[in-house]
Amino acid sequence: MRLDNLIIETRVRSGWAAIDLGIILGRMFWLRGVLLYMVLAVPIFALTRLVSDTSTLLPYLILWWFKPLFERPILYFMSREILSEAVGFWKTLRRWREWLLPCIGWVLTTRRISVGRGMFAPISLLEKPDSSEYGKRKSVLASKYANQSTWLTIVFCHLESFLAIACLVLLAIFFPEQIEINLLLLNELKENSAYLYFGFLLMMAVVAPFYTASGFILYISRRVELEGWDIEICFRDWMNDFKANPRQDSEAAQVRSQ
Amino acid sequence: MRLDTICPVETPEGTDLQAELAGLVPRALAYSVDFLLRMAILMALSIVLMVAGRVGDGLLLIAFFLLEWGYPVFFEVLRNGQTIGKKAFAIKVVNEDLTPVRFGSSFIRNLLRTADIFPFLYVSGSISMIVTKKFQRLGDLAAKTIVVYDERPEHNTALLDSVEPVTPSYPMTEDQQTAFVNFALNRGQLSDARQHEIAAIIQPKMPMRVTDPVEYVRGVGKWLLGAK
Repeated sequence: MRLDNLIIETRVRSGWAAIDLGIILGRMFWLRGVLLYMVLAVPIFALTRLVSDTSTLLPYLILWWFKPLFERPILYFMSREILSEAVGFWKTLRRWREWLLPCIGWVLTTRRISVGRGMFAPISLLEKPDSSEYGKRKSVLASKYANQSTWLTIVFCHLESFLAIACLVLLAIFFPEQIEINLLLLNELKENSAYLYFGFLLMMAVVAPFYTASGFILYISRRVELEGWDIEICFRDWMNDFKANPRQDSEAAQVRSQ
Repeated sequence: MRLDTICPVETPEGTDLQAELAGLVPRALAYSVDFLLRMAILMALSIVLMVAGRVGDGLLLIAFFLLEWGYPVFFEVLRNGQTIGKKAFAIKVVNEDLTPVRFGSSFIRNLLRTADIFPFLYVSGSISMIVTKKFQRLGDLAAKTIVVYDERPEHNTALLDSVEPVTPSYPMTEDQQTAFVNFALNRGQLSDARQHEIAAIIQPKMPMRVTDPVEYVRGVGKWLLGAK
């Protein structure tokens, strides 16, 4: 891992500032992020239609439970792109074994319940520890940003549902004759559930790149701090300048520091 | 250019200032704190005003209006750009040139909450905060304001008592000075092996007589912090 290739500025950040940087990263890779989310989400959505087309909440619950799985290709993609290794969309798909398989059983069972899962997902995917080591890694990383990683999940969970409701409200405003907002849509869940749940899924996909990126940057920030990445990068850059241009180095530094 | 949330500003005098922008998540939470606080005040008032009958209802509506529109403006103008919720998250409202907000811009940015709230629970404002470069909601765009983090407190230098300060023999940039200082303060509690690994990177830059690169880097860091 060549730390000087990182596309983000490495410095010690507060947890909130790390989340903010995650928003920038999510914005940068947004479209590919949404598409990567759909890669697993659409087939599973189709499966839920086979399982149940009645008015239960079961399809929604299944989709909700599989969220960490849908987010994994985004995380894999971002973790490579952030180190300037341009894997791109198709290469990420072709390497599906690398993001689908690691710790998949844990991620969908005990680790699914964690409220700070956005920050801990990179441990399972990138470090692939066994279960006893995972607990240790998690407690080391969470010793500082536990608060922020929890609130991150809560805020994005709300944003997702607010977006879904806002879309319904907008539809009702623009097409008042076709859609009656007085919960008729929900009463006729049986007929409309496919559209409704696909709408929810879309909202999940739209928000997912930001959530995944913010959790990932929380994880990265914690490692920057624990392992002194910022210092290492600064020293390496300095030595690279020095090697490239040994005589002018001190003069350049003088100019830069003014 | 590496990605960052720092917003650089050049003043008319030619000095460069910078501030760390605050984005959607801390701002939404700060808003929630303020909102809950306002609701609590209104609840308390409604119980007190119950005795006053219909006059009480009127007073309650006036109180609601004042709290909803006056509370943020009052705090932003008179309390250093911080409402109580913002203070809890150490963020504050400033103009785009980092000067404190005055009544006019605070009034505009709060009046335009009506736009940000459309169509439901600040969805427009949230989207705007995600897509704009400086994390601005629509009210911020109109009033030309941003929300930034308040600067953080200074470091604890007690760790460095046993270290001998070393005068560096070459000029350093600001980033390099920060790196030395961070190393010296051992922020993040680096292990000994890791400290050695990092310090060894710049061994070619050190004077020949230096035997322990870790001690040297820590010494320079202490010197940069002001010890002579």
